[in-house]
Amino acid sequence: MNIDGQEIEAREGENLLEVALRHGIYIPHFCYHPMLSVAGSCRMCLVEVEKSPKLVPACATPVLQNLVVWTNSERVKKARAGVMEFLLLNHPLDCPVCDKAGECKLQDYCFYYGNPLSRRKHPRIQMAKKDLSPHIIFYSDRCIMCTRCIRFLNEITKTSELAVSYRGAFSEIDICIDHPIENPLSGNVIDLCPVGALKSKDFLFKKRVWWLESVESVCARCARGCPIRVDYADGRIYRIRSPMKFWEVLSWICDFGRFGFKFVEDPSRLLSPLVKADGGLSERSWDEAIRRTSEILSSSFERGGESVLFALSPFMTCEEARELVLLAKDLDAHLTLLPSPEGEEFEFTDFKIEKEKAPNSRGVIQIAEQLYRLEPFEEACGRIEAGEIRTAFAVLGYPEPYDFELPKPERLIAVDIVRSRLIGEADVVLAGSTSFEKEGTFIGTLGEGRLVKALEPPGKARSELSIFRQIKEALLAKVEKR
Amino acid sequence: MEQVLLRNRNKPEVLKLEGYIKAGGYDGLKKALQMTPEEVVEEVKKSGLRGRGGAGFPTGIKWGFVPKDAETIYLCCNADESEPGTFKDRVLMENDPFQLVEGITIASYALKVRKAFLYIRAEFPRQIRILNEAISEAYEAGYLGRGVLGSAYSLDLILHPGAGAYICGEETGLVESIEGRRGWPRLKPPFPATKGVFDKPTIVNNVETLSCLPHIIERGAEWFASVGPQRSPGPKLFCLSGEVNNRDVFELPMGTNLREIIFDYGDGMMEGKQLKAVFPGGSSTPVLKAEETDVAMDFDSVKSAGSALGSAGIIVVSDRTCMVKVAYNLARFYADESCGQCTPCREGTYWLEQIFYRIEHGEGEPDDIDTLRDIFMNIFGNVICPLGDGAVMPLQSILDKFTEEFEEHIRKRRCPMRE
Repeated sequence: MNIDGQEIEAREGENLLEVALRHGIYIPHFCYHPMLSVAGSCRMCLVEVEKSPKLVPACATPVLQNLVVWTNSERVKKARAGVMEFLLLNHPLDCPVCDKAGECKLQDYCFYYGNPLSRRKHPRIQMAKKDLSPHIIFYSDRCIMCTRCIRFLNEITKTSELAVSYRGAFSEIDICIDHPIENPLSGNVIDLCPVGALKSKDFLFKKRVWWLESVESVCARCARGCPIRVDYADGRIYRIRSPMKFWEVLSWICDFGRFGFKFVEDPSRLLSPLVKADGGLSERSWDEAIRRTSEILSSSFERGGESVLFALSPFMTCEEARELVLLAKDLDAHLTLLPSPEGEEFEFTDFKIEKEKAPNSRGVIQIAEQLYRLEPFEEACGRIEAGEIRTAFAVLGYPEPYDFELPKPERLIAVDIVRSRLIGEADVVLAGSTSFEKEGTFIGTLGEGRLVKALEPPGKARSELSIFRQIKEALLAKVEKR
Repeated sequence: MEQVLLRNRNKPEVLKLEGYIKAGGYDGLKKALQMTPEEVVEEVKKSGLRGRGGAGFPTGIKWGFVPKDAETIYLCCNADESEPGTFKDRVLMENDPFQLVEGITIASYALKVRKAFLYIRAEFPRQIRILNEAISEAYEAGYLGRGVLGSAYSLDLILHPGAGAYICGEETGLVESIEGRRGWPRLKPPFPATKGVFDKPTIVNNVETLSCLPHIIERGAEWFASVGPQRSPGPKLFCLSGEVNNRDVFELPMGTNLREIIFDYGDGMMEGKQLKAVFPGGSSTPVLKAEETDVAMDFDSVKSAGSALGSAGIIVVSDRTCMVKVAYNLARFYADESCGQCTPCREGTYWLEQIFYRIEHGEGEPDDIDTLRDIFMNIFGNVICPLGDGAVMPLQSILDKFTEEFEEHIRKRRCPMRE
């Protein structure tokens, strides 16, 4: 086939818009979304097709052999400018106070395809703001009726909370009275909205988007490991979204992942290593904490026949696990994996929220078993109770308080991000970092995911990898000295 | 002419099955059941019957689009008659419900349909009641249901009232509505004949079209083809409204002259009024000026005259009526009835309404006329369904043919007809 004079090979029946986008020919569009059914209603992707008297929506046109398409003819440009003018007719000019400004399809297309001046002489239709769910607020008059949100809730979550009420220019997206959007994927409608209509209450008025920087990372809130985009500025996370390419959501993320980043700013975050002295924990320098750690670890070996337990966390990265597993192996220590928190499991079309609410038990188990040996958590607990293990080095890192029974060993070194319950029992506490504050790899049910650092660890907290390496060095130095 | 479709008009006895049969009813169905379905289709094709809903598409050819291997096929009778100026289906339904039920049964038999829907607008409560009674009676007497008239053919007919939207008269809006959804028209292709109600092949036919069938089968295709012009034959109902003396539905041969309908059957213009303009086929057809009204009322002739036969809803406008007001009134209708799905129609019809309102109320500005023309261009052909185009066609023709009235409004900053 041929698009704008360019010979293109495509499969017969393929979606014309998808083919064009794949070949770098941009056709503007609002309602089309690769993971939703075709609505063909925004009319922004109208193109000229040879032998067709009318312009056709590219999103609803199947490719035929020798199809000749013009995406930029005068007729197409005229129709596009017409659609833009229609869309802006009743769209409030509130970009200065709209959260979407700067990443708004309507704004960008207006710049590229619209008319500079409006011919409107009547007042705009005004509509009310609506509260659609605990997470979502809806600015009705900014809506352009692309129905992406409706299709998402009909086709992906199959919960159908949103529908259109009224008719014509007065059409409004709405929920039924007292039936808010209630499903664990609801936040995706915020990402799907091409304009500033569906907004996140959490992010509302927090930051102009052009001040935000982003990294594409992986979610740590369940065993699935969804790719996410972390938007941050001035050392804070402002929001988490699906990773997007030119306004297109490439995969969904759930609300736990989307809104579950507040623990990063938990007031009980550990900002410095702590060492037990005079019966209480007090802030000490890293040097002292590492020294104390290596003392505890080496002394247990010096006493002979006394075992050390290394307890790995399902929240640690593969790289961290590798470092610690090798250390355990060198020390001939016991190795176990702490339990993962469990929560509700949800299944949707091509999307599952895992019951296991930790990102990397798979990766940790794989590495531990490959490089050394892993014993069941219950067995390790038994050894502590039997007095066989007197020293434990536990990596925690649970984003929310999680209660599991770890019998108290005589000596405990804990690596954690917040002042958790176990911290009180520790001799040394090493301040670690969250998944947003380090690099690394998780292996989830989706496969391997790369963590990309968005923030520096707070205060004097450090990445686990550097902590483990320092401990190893300190231990080596001790051995060499001897 | 001989009344065929309206032969039972104002005869309350035919509202009962017994009276209908006594008046010669159901002879068509009896004859059809003696034929094979293919023979019935052939007969309808031969008759040259063209759809009476507005588009004038040949009924037999439309039926031929149903895939041959389809197992489940639906028939929908479109009784959502909502086109302004159109009230013929209503007259057919309230005067002769069995004629329609018989027509639906014949079409269903020909198309091998086992379940047919009669989609009727909610604003027809009386007609709904009449049809409900007729359908129950037909079921009881074996004219519907298992084994129609003792034959091996069974048919269920479901009366489905709409919820009051013009757009549900559009084929695919109607299909969506039957499925229980908001009446938002579908993208075409696929057309309902291949993918309609519940994604099964579906034929949507108008009330008048289906009411013709008993007569075509009973009297033969040749008889039907002999009435009116060769390319759009048959008896036809014309709805005459507006500023004429006798506003009514007339059954006349297709091709009857528009002036004859207005001045003979309609008994001419109301006292003291002169003919100014006519919408020949409902509000969605381009307007004809008085001097353009010497036209035969059949699909092809009206098309040649620059308009369309449409639903044959003839709306007569006199010299005492302001064309800007007519345009505003129509624009308001389309803005109100636009379903809101596609951008150009949703926003464009509203914008048109606003501009026509301003001009009619003395707030028009000279550049409004160019803006209107540009909006017409940006809507026409760029929409999903015929509603947007149907709004543009009459409005554009009013603006083009009566430009001076618009200019006068803008110049005088008031409506000259409102003294």
